Amino acid sequence: MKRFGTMITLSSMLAISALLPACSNNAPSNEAGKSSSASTGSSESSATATASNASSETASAGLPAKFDPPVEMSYVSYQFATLKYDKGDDVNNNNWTRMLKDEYGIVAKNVWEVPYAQYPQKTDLMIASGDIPDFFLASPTQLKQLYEADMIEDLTDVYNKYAPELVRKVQDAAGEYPRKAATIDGKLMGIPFTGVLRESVNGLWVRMDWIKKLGLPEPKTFEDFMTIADAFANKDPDGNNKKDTIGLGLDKDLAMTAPFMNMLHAYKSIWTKDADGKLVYSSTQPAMKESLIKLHDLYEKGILDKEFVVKDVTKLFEDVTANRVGMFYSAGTAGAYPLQGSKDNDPNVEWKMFPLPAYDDQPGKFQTELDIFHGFWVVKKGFKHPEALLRIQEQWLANFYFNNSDETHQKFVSNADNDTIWMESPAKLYMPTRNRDFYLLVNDVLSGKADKSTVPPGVRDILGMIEKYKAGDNQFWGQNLIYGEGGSMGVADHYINENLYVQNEFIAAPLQVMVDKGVNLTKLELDAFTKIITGNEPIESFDKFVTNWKKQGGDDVTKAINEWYTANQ
Amino acid sequence: MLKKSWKRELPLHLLLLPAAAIVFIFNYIPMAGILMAFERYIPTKGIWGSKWVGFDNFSYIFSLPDTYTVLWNTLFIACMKIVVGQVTPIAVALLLNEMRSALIKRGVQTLIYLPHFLSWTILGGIMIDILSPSSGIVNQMLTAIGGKPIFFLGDNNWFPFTIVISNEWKEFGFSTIVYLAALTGISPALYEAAVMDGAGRWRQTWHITLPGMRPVIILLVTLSLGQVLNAGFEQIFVLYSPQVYESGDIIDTMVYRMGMLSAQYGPATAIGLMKSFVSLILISVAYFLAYRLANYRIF
Repeated sequence: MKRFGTMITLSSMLAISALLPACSNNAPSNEAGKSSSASTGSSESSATATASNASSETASAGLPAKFDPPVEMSYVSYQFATLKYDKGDDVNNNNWTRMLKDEYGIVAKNVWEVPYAQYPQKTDLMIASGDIPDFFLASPTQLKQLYEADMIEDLTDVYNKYAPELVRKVQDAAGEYPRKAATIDGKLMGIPFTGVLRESVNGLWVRMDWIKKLGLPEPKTFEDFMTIADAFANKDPDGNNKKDTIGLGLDKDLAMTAPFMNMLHAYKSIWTKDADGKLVYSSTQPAMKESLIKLHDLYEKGILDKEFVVKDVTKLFEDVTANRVGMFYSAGTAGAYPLQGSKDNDPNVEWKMFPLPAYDDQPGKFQTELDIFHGFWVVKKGFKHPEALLRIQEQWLANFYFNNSDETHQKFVSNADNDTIWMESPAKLYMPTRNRDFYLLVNDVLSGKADKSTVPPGVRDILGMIEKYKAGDNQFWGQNLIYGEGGSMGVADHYINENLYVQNEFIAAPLQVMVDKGVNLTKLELDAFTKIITGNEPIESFDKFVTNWKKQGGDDVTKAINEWYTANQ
Repeated sequence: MLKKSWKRELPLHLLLLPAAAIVFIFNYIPMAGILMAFERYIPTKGIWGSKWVGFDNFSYIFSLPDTYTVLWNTLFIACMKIVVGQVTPIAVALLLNEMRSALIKRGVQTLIYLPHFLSWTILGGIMIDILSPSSGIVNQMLTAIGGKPIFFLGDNNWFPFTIVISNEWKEFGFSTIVYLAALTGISPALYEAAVMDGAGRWRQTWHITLPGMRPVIILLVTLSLGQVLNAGFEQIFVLYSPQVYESGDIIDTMVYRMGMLSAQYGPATAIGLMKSFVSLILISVAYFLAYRLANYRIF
């Protein structure tokens, strides 16, 4: 699960073409990441919330304290293969539903529950049949269709009037884009299921033991980066007298080239604003040519694996685990996979994640997609109490994230027998910076700023693992790499605090013309970039690519996207 | 009389029912989905609610700039696969048939049959390793005899052949067994008579073994002609990369990117329908020819 999750995180973080619906791509990753973290225990978040608990947070909302008579809400849901119920429990009768019913008068009634992979198709069929439940999670494309068919409730006033503190807090932490994407014709048609893209920045992972061995500097600037990459590939860092090490790991779908391009202020396959405020396609901009020249340079010097063109991310991670790779770009969670495997194979290995090395006096910014998981929570047109959905979401946040009590943790998140209880909540939202917040709390305790007893159960679990690691158990080395001192989430923290992101400005469901031209344009781009990097085509062919891209439909797409952009400002 | 035999055979017909039901449910009912090829299909509107666009999806496909490259790649790879896929097993079956030791014969048969059971998902990873120009065993052997390493999976000149040969390596054991089964059906009396007339090994093979295999050969060739637009999705999908789009992108991989990644169900179905249509015509022609020229009927 963890392995799969990280893989998908990567590919979804990086590989999503602007022409595909971003949300459906990164869907399983977040959830998978959650499940693995839930198994190690999780719950709380922001450092300020350490003293809060469920009851004190709920009072502030304009929501009725308890629905009387109880409100029945039908919904449909997805689950992951790992879900199991405690004895006697089922989807309509478990700790979550009992709590909602007894304390808040909300009876959540599940119509059907399917594995996540089937969820998009099954909801499509359901919408086609015209019979939708009181609330459910809809994809961006479905949101648009439901709105056009007038099947869902306008939630603008409901949100403004009733949204509890916790829900607002999480929505605000996710930034303005998710709610913008959920707004059609000025009306909020769904509550965004916020995701975790911002803390999943693909920083530069570096083999620190090789740095030490070869006496190299840390990668602060682009020159450092080039020196290190060259030395890692050509100075035999593993000392076996063979040139078999890889300076910088890349994959055949070029997903991992995006952070490299970001370093050079180029952005791969997203829509960015130009000087005139128009949206332009980042892959056709002059900065892209510059980064392709640099990548070709790396290829020529033997820094890239000559065979990267046939290796996907999984295959690259095999090389990482076999300790042949010196640097690669990946999210902070790479500390668990693939890097834990690297450490298992050789206890002398040390890795560290760095921010993007500086190319000039401007810091590199990561490109990022619309930060949602799957889509938006929608409420059926005519349903009497849409605000009840906000209560379910609030309770999810209160018990999953903003909780300090071990008892609540075991009741609603996970316990020794069952680490999937958290999945039973009828509606969820993800705290966009959960792992980063965990990192901050862990480090507060480690530096003596906070006491272990004041942090949430999930953080205590991680502290326990870090203690074991410090006592010599390398099994928890990866966890320390993520949350410990100088951990990868510290890099994410830096990016979140400085807000160093370039957002894909196109955040709607794909337009028809994008769908029609997309397959061909994506292929054209991948084909051209691969050939330029490997030198099969000269760098001048970049201009030919730009011309072809425009001619084969790029101009039409640009026009349609700008029309959308003007209409949705 | 008739009634009596009907009564006797009824249970046997009933035994057929579950199989017929399965075929009906899973093969015939989904055929309604073919309608998608003529619609601007939107999942939420369903097959009956989507807009009817006639042949627009087909003209859309042929308006794409790389359709013809993809078509050519498919034909090239599939035709090579058909030819190699017939010749190799026949040759191997004939050779195995001449083997005196039953033990070696059985052993070889089993060994070459084994890769058939591995999925391409697993084999893909193994192929990338053994065909690697730097560390792969194939290229190490090549360099050992003085050759230059070849990037089998990353070189557009080599990629189609790599696909055909690796597929053949995986599948030829299976077809060989079919041919070997056909060989056991040839009466030993024919060989004895031939020996009496002074025929050597070559003559026996040419005049007895091959004619004896003829019905099976015709059957398999006829069936394989239906594969002429089928270059093997699974294999190419795990082995190809943007580097070899030029020589390795086939109809099925294009359909995958179109249908699954871009949700263009209409055009994707249209391509699928076109493929089935061409296959149907080719199989019919081959069947007709087999009947006319070899007087052989499959059904």
